[in-house]
Amino acid sequence: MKIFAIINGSSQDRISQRNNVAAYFNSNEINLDDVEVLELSGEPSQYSAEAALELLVEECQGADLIVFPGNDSGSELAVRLAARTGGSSLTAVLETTLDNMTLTATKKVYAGNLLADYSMEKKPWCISVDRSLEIEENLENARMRVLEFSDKYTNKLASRDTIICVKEKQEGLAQAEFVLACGQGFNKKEAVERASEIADNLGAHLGASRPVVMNAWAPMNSLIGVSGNMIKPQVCITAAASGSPAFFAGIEKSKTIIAINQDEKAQIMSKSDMAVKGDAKAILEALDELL
Amino acid sequence: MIRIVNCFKIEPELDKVTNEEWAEAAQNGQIDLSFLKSRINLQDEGALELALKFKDAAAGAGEECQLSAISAGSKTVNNTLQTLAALGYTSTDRIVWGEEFSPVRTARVIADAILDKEEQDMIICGGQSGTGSNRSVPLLISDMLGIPCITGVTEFTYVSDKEVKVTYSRDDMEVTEIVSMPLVMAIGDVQKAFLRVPTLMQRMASMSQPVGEINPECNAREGATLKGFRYLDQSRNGELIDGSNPVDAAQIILDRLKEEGVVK
Repeated sequence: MKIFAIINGSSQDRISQRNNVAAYFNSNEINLDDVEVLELSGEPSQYSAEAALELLVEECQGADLIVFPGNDSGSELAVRLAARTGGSSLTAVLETTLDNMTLTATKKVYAGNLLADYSMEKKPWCISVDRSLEIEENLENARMRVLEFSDKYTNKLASRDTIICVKEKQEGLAQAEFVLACGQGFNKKEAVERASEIADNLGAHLGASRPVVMNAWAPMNSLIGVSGNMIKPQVCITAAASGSPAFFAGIEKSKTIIAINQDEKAQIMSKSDMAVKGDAKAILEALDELL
Repeated sequence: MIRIVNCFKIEPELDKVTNEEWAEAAQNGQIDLSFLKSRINLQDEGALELALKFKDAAAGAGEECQLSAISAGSKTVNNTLQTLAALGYTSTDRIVWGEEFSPVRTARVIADAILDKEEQDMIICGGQSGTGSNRSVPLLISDMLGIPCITGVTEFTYVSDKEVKVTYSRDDMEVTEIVSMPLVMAIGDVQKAFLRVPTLMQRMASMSQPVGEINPECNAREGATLKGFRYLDQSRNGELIDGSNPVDAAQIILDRLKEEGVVK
């Protein structure tokens, strides 16, 4: 099997990309000796998906399996490389099995409520790895090759006046030991701001579910879930969050989950270590009083 | 004249399904979500509202902008298409389509529908569906049409009839640049981009605009085909606490936080 892993230059954070694809190889028992890592050179400001695709079409000829990290650009490259090489693609893959030259790949579907198994027949199989997979492993045992961009790879996106900056992150949320995550039940900005004050008093970081940030009740960088922060605190309190799988994916590595929700049947209740049926706002106010 | 086509999807409200119902559906191998209320995919909704805002801004600069909407799905999309007609979409079409988990075939029928139209300057889609979650349809449309694609778009504004200023998110970076059209844009998470509501007058004025129906022929083949579903049991089955007395509940939580060592 000819296997490539692609570390791209779109992001400053190459270590997370390596940890992400390494976790896939590790959990699927693929020996790193069998993998060639292709690392695209250059800074994020020089990155272009179109140019990267031209380069990868040339460099990945004869590949059976091409593995990309699960970040935005990794998933984009997986889909487009398969389209250009006549292969098949799947994004956010959790695991694969090989049987009779068909790759079966598994990923979460229906917003994370179910797992789906896909049969991938056409090679190259281009997959990106689910973002939740992570292992501290720098792919050092794999063969490594740096791919240089050159002028012959043209950027087909005709653009000018480009400004590129690093996204503002909420300081420490991803590494926090204690997180208070607010859900849609807070239903207005003032209520989320009050929860933020209580989080400060508790010594917790504030996180938010997708409906909360989409309504701009909390900043985008507080988003927890598949498209936001993936946290792994000692304790996560979810307050008035239904616990959609997309949100739960962001908190599933929490050691202890305490859910507060008025609906006993909300998905989060059975996925928590302590489920409190009640008014989240009132209980947080009482908690603040007790401190 | 700038021509824009929005492609959107109506999806079931999945958070109304309990864990037990998902488990049972996976075991039976039948996922019937037709009983659920449905709504526009959140990113698609942002895309539609951003297109309307773009049209308003272009009009302010003296530029005419023609909006079209396409959705592949069942007749349930017709209500939304009528709403879009009332909001100023001059062409609204439904592709008669019942396939899920077939991004290549879905992208093919949408690309064909776009090719049947006049040449478009911008093709705008939400970045990801809530069902298959594969993030691939806009990218595949881009490759099928041979038009460059930008993903994770959070804002786009009028510059001229040839260029648009786009802000987009890519991994840990945010990029703003002026880009030449034609362009495919996959819209990401946009705060407060909810579709505006048409007035009664707008609705009545659009009553005569029919929703077009496209019956596609599609020979495209999926590279990855769905074999089946499994339930992912993530339950922790923790203790259920009665929180009807907030003070008592808060005390139990505080004791646990102390036990875990996160509060002293």
